[in-house]
Amino acid sequence: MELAGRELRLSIFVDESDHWHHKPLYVEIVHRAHKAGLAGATVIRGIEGYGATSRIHTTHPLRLNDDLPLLIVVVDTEERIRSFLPRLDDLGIEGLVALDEVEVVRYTAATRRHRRRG
Amino acid sequence: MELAGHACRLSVFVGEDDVWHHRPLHHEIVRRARDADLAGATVLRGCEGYGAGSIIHTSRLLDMSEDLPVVVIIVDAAEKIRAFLPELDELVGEGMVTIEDVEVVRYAGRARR
Repeated sequence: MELAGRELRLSIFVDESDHWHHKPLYVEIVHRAHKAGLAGATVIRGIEGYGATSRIHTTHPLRLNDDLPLLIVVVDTEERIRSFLPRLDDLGIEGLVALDEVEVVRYTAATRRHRRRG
Repeated sequence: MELAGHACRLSVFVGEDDVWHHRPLHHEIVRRARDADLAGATVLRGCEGYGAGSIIHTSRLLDMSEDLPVVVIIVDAAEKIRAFLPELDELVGEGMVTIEDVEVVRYAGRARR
């Protein structure tokens, strides 16, 4: 897949504990991005944060931290990103979904060492 | 809180061990952002990096895995971000602060539990 020059970065901030039909929400988002053929997705775990509810989530040495923030980053062409956004509407994402422009300097995949059969 | 359309993302890169009056600096930044009524803040921990100090901190080697980088990301309207910058002047002695334009597609919260 060709990806170079000015593209769009989609950033989605959610809670790790957010679920959609009993599955972690971030898993579903990445799955849908993959199904839509987007160039890639990365999920990064935050160690602290707050959003629209204003309660600060933070790591605590003596408590289970199941609601820490996650950041999902997807980069692709503007058309593909914008046509992907409606596919997230039914997820009811509580958090922040933002777009910004990036310049892709390099996007390459490793060449396969072993060919899969079939 | 309404947040839609053109906004600014503030990224503050500091060390995880940086302190402000004996408390983690990144936590102080988040607390002040909330007190300033900014839409949200997220702290991400990097596994490797260097800054003005030039020593590469990495989680791959035990004796270099102190003071790993963290980045505090805050998104809100440009005016509110810029009004918050003087707070960072006071807090961030060593680090980097960047501002980028972003387009907010969605910003929603849940009803209080």
